[in-house]
Amino acid sequence: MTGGFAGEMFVALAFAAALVAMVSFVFAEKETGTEAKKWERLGLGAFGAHIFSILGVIVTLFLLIYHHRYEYHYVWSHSSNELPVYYMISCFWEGQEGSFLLWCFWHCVLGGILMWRLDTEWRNLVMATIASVELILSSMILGVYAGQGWVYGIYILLAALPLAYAGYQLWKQTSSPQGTSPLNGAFHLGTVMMGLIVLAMIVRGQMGFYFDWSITSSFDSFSHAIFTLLLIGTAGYASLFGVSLRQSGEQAPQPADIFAGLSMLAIALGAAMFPADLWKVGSTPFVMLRDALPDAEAFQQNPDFIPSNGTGLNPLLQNYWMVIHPPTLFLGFASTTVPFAFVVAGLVKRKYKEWIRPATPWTIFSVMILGVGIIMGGYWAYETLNFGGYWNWDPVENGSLVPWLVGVASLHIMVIYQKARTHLRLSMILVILTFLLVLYATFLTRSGILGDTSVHTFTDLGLSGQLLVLCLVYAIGIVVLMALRWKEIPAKVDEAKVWSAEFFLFLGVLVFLFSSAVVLLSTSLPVFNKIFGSNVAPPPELQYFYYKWNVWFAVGFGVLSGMAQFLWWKKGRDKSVVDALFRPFVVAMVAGSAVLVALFYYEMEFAYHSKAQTLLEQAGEAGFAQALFKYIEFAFVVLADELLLFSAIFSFVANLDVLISMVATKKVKLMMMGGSLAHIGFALMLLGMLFSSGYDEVISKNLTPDQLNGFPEQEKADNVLLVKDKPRYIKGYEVTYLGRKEAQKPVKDIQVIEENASAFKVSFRDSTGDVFAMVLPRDVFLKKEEGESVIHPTSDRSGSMSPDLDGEIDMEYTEWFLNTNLKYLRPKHINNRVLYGLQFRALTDSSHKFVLYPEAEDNETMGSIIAHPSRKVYLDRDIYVHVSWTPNDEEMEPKYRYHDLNLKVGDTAHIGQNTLILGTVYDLSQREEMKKFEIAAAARMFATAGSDTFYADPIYLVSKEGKPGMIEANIEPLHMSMAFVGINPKDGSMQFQIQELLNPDQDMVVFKAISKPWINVLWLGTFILTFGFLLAIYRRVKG
Amino acid sequence: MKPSRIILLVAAAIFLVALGVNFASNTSSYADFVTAKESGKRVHIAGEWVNRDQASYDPEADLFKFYVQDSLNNIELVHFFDPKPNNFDQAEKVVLIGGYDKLSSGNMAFVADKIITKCPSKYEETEVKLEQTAL
Repeated sequence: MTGGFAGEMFVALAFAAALVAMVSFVFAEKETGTEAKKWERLGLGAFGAHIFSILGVIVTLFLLIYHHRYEYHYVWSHSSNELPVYYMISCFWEGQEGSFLLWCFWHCVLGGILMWRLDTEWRNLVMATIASVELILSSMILGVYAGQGWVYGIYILLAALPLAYAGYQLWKQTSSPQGTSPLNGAFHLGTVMMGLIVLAMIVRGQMGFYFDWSITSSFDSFSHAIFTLLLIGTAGYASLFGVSLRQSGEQAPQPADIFAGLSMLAIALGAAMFPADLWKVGSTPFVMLRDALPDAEAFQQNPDFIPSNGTGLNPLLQNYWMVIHPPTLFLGFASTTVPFAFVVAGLVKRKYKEWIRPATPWTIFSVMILGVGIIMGGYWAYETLNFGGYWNWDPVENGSLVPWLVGVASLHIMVIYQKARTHLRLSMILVILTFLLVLYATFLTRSGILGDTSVHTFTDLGLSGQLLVLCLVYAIGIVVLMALRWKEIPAKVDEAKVWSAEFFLFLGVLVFLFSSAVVLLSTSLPVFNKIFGSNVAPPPELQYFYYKWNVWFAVGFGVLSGMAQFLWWKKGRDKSVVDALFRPFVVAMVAGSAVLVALFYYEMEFAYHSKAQTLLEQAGEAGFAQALFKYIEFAFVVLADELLLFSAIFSFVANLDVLISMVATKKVKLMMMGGSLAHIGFALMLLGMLFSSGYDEVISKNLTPDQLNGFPEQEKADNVLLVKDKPRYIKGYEVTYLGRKEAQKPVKDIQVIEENASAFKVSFRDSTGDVFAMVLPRDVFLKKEEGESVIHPTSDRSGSMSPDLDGEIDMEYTEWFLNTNLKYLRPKHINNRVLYGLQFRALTDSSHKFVLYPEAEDNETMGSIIAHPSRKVYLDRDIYVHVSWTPNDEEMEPKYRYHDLNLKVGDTAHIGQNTLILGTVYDLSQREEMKKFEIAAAARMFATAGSDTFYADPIYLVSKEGKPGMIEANIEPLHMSMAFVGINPKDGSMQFQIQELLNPDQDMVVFKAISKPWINVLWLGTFILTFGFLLAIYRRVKG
Repeated sequence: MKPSRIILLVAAAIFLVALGVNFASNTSSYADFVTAKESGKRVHIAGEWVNRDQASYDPEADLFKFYVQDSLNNIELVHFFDPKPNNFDQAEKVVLIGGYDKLSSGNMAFVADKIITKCPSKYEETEVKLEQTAL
């Protein structure tokens, strides 16, 4: 309970410290001389305190998760005992509160670097802007509940008075002609800060405990002690500081300060008794489970109930990419604040040109990190989700893509400015827009507004209003600031020459802006619906809509990046532009044509060519105007992919040409090559996307059309059913389902991960290193009392003794039990996962074979299986395989039907499709090994199925003592087992029991396999792009 | 104003108008089964999965059939040529993207091209089990 208390204190402190830092930095900018220095020191100190507090919140939350403190709602709903430590960190971004925390954290890191590296010219205003963002972000996790009822109103008033007073003092001093006394300023700021802390604490209805003294059960004396100490400290703070002020000889406003302290004490004690939740600011990660879900049945029965296990981390997040993707993305988000802060500083200080130079490396950094973060998310989706790709145009993905596109545009405009001194206003606007779009994306994804358009689940934590305020404050604020300064910003009206690098760069910027407009428009549809009250749904063929627009921007990028880079470096040379670009152009045409021929030869068809065909058909039927549009669209669609192929190769070759000539002439150092490398990387990414998404192919086509009963003609089966050990053919491969991946003896690292009165759950590692888990009954595995019986693995443990609920689980026995019975227990991989072994054998080369293990996870919270794909990675393509359907455990259970037959020799019986004939019965009792039996008889039973006939010999035995027995016989191909159970002495008929297996092929799986050509070119391009960005940053920081 | 800037503005205006028109003509509406049948177009239908016990998946045909009740309480059998989507059992609400197609049997049926499932979020998880005997 105290852990959460500490966390709440840190949150409140972080909020207050951010406020102090913001105000101090503003005053430091406003003042001059020693006053400014003092303010600055206060600001630096306060931001340092903010960093410390945010780290404190993170450490506290992590410790709560680490120690499985399920009395906390956040811990309960995002983690579980099964969770390995390295995934505990992912709990931070499953919940909204945690992801705000992550965002705060990166601002702290960036702010720390800026405080340390930036010279004073920029530091104050840049830090003030960052602190303002931090102020709002930390308010998102405050979880302050404001009042209820008139009593509460009074207390809020009481709390507000000292705050208002201190604020007034601050204002008066800073606006007085004598200037501020920084010590006084610090004092009042301190009052504001402490006031806010106390406010945050007391106004909350949920602080880990209710202040309603009657609920003694949830009252914790230690928390109370800390709380009391803090209140006394707050009250004492005012008088102590006042004394020190007087001693230092500065003017101290005494009575009001004492009043401030006392009134805080009063409201703290009074208001505490009235928990309320009229409206809340922020949502804290430290709320108790019983406070979050007071109506839950468990708490009705036992208010002190603490669950023994959490509900767990979303299994999709239990992937190593999910450990690094969200932090990277959030670093990208956070880093867009820095160039924005420079623009704000530039506008406020009227240094309209100077901000660009220090801001540029930060812009490159944010574009680089955001890009890497987006691609990581795509890679995670590709590796973990089963939609068969890395990009789904989901609003969540688009939300981070749009700021990236605008960020790239802003970077290039800044580069143009540095070369040609034009487009200053536009560069400011784009930097601002990038930041605002990050805020907008946050609003979209966290307010629940996306509703029906996204497959992701979003819940409004009651923060949507607050998020909207966040967006509007910055949007309105910066527009006003921009408008005030607009006329002053120098605008050089200088026409760029048509054949100049700047001209093509500018066109490139437009390409990125247009592209972002397309993505933004359709992603914002739910917002338009909300504003206009309309009910418009996104295009049903969303992928196609995005493709047909963005492919042209990609073409534009290819052409423009090739030309611009060339002109950038070749300017002033003798060669004319046409001459210079001739070589890359020819190479691109030849290489592109060769690829087209190869595609034709391998019969690879572009994904949207059939779409073009449909358009053509539709145009024939439509009226003139519609037909015209359809023909235009057809032309666009049918040309786009070839043009993209040529232009991407052109960009690649032209940039490579530039790079090679740089190296050859040795005029340019490595660090100058960032631009060319980045463009080469992006060109490769486009090629990778074109091929992996445009020429991907489902190879698991169902080749037996008679199975496609009820299919519409245009649909084709992309999934194939495999029965265990029965190979089937797909394109290029013979596939055999080998069965589930089972645990291998010996097991080790056995751990009890959850237990209750009747059962416990263990996890263990098998000999191959896979981790499995299963539930065992508790009483059987309890340690016996010393002397009661010797612990012996083979001793009978089940039965008579009454369950001792308090006993300890005998791990030695558990290990022995697991190792002995592993074959029958068939435990699943941890988190209810099952791995399905699929063996692929190439049809062209039967010696080339490999086994993939796509996973299916039986997830209780999701109520169905979650499939995780598995891949075979070749240099030129991936074979991407996932399970689409599996029988559930119940269906996997063998089902039998029993038949009791009474037959004489020569009789027949029908069992299902098969006919049984009792051929003959012969006596075995004369045989040597059967001498000990009174009767030993074998029946020759024939079974016919179609044209095949099988036989089996079940045996009937009676011992000398008269005890009957039998030896069963099986006919494997017919899944039949027979027992000869008796002979009727009266009529000589014989009794048989036939066991018929009804579901012989119960172990089966439906899978889908996709070939993804050139996908590695995409990943390779990402690496080169990132490396290019790194060089560019290095050059700008060093050069 | 410089001529080049005018050209730029005109180009941007044309682009935005083209984008807007194309987007508008591509958007669909949240419809119900009756209007979807009449229009013959691909639509979004938001509804609820009903008669759950009558849903079936045929692994050989790779066909998942289930009943959906739309906002006007029309109930229709939906054909989905893929296995049952993730989260489907938990879905409070499903959004179908699809339209009426002629099957090979000659019958018209609502075929869903894509299904978006909306699930209760973890945040709304209100069930705290006191004793988990089955673990």
